[in-house]
Amino acid sequence: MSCDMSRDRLWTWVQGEDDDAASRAEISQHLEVCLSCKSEVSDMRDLIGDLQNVAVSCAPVAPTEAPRVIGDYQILRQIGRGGSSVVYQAEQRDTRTPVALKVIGGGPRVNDSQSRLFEREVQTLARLNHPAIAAVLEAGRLDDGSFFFAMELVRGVSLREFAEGRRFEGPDEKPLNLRERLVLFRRVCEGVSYAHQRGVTHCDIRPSNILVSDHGAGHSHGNDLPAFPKLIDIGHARLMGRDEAARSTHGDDGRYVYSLPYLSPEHAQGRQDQIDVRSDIYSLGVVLYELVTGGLPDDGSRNSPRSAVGPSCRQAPVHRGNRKRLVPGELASIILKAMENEPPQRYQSAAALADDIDRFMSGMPVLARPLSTRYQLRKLVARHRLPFALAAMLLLSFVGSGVAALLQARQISSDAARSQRVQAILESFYEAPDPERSGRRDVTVIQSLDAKAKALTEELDDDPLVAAAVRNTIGNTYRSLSDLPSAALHLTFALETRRKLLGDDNIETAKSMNDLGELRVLQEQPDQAENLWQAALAVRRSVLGPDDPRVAETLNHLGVLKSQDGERFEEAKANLEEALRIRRNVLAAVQADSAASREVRLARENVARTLNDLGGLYRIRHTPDEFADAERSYREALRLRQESFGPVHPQVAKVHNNLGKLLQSKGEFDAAEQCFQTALRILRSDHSYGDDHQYIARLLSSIAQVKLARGDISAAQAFGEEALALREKLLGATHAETTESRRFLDSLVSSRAAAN
Amino acid sequence: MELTTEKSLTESGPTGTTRNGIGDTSVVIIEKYKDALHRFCMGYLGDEALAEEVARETFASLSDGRELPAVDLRPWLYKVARNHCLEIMRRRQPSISRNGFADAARLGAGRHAGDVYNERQELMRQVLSNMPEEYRSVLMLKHVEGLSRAEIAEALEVSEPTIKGRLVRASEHLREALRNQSGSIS
Repeated sequence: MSCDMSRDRLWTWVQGEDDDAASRAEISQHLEVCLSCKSEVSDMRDLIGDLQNVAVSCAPVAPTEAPRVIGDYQILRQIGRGGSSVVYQAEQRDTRTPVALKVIGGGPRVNDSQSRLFEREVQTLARLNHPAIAAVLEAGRLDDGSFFFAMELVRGVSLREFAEGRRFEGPDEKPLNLRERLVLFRRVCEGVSYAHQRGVTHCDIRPSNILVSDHGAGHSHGNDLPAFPKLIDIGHARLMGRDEAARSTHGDDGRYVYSLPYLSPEHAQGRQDQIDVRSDIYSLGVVLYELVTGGLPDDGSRNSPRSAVGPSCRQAPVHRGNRKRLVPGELASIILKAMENEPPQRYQSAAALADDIDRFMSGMPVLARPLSTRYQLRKLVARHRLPFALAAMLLLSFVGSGVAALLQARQISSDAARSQRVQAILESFYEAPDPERSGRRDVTVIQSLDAKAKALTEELDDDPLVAAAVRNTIGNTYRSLSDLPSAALHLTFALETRRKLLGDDNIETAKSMNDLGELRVLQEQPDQAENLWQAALAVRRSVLGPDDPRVAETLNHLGVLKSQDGERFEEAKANLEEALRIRRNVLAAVQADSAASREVRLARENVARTLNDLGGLYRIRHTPDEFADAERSYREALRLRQESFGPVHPQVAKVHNNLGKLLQSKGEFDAAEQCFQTALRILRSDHSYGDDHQYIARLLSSIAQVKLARGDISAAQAFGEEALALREKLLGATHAETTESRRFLDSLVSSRAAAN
Repeated sequence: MELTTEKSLTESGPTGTTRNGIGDTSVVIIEKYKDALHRFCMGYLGDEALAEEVARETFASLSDGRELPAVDLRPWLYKVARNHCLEIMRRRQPSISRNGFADAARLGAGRHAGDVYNERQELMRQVLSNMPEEYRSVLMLKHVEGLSRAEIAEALEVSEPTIKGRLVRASEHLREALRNQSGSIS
């Protein structure tokens, strides 16, 4: 190595054995700039990967000299070898068509199992005709008893290599950015989905089985990314609903013969009857993880056989070499949902996974989150603007005329408490009855806001501090209306102006930092958000003291942000617990000093919200202690919200749902079902939701899952059917959630058939 | 504590493999660990039947209470299995080499269709076969069996700092040996 970093340190780091957080951070930063060490680390990871593959397979075959001719094919060179097969690059002698020729065994060594495997592979592949799947051109048997088949020769590099910029021909290019990687992955999903629809599961999806070339055809996305993936080696694919004898006998040895990190738990455990399309979804999840982060889920939780028997991987994906860099929250949720331990918890189809990727790329809410998170609310705001028309109109009423706006702005500028109250009012509109029911978008509101904001900006040109206060509020409103570029424009102006005129250590500046941080999270820039919040926190603590509710606000933000990084659990916990302490004190003070029910309710809701976030944090750890803490937090949040809102309120239902999800994770299916049923009753009886609502369908689906977990397949089917009917009615037959419900029911029917 | 986890998994797993194992912890444990232990023993012995025998013997130790795990089940299982393997290798040194991986390779040919073979993997097998046992065991337990440092320390009956240092040395040994044999790595 050409730098001072010792290889011992790198080995310790690569193997997850560096206990010193500062040292880990130093190495991560070093790898960002040192290509030599980066390459070194890459080699180390490859070595470990090879070690795992070799150690678990124990199945080499002695190299043999390649024949010159096989059947009608002229052999050019050997390009690969499996445990019982050799793959050659060859060409058809008459047409000179280039092919990849796969030959199974040598006559005497071919046994029935190998023959069956080969025949099945041929049957499987012969049915497939898709640009993302390598086509089978011919198959047959040679004189010596060996089988062969000729496949389309794919001139590409593995998915991993392609993402890193390597090309089959020509010079390397820049590594793909996140969006390009997702586009590429989306195309892989198309191929997998196509195969699934024809009853074919791949069963061995991994980056080396996905070759990518930079020229080809067949994708009709309108996206011009020159990347054409092809799935190869579907030799382990099993036919769904056919070849039952082979299904029950082949591969029953239960050993880890595939590439471990990508193998689904049910496959790794040899639960042959449970391997279906959702096993491929798991593998796709790991492939996506690797594509997004550059590494595999580490700490042994996913790249070892232990994963097959351990709990679900619930740690947020982290970038290889820079653990502080967060994977965008929605994307992390997509990955984790695909990699759920239990198949019913995963996406039920490759199409559903692809749809969620699409949603993520287009800024729509993804399905990979429970309904109870504040995230949902934020995304609802982002997508459905009608209720936020009220908030915007409120703002417009402030700024409707120049004089009124100026007065209002001066108040905001001079009175932080007033500003906070305005924000609280706006926030109360954010939690207005669900906008999904209307499903309408009111673009005139944002158009009006554009015009007013422009006029106001010009009008306040002579008073930058007032302009900063107003534009901070305008920015927040744009943020609520999901116009992030406009929000950034105004919030950045407000922050820069305040920094310039008031300095960094000013409470108004801190507010701008806090608000801009919230925007950065929506813009998937968590590092920037964290920096802003840390700065805002320091100012608020020093100016307002450690017990001010605004300190708690920023602490809560930081805690939620850090909770997305499994490695920062303790930091997140410290932030949220501190926020909780402050908010509890505020609540006590308000209850003692004020009879104003609204003040008390607001303070109580703040406590409930932090408790809910803490519950979510504890829940991801999957340990008995943390499960207990999560349950305590949820139960107190529930009690507080019931005090504020009464027993029947959507906010109460959300905590019931969260608690249900927790209990479901703990395996307490009876109690989980009670929670879901309670939430269901509340939503059905609450006038703001009505009987037909997407949330209700989700709760029905959750109940179906716990019924299934308890072995009550009939009830699971009944609830699953109800969820499906509702989703078909609300969302249409092709919506991803509808498809998910249908898949769930299909798997139930299959299970019943198998049981009978 | 492992048993508690196991029980919880058994009772809660909606689609687990242990539908018949509720209430019978031993059956659940065997079901859960048999393949891993078998694979681990194959690395030492290179003999399917012998590896199975050692795995069975290990589980028997558990069920008859001869050697009950003091703290955690998983490292205990590996510790007992490894000791059995080492004992067999000592007793039968003339007829069984330490070349477990190479032997396993010959026996296993044809069983793993589709597992991509290449020269590097063959080299890896040779290097693993000739690696000192204390290096090989720590690498296997870490990267193949997925044990934590504390668990490996318990299984190999050494301290955690020792394991940490040994992992680095073993990894470097593996890398150097591969480099020497292939002349082409990195």
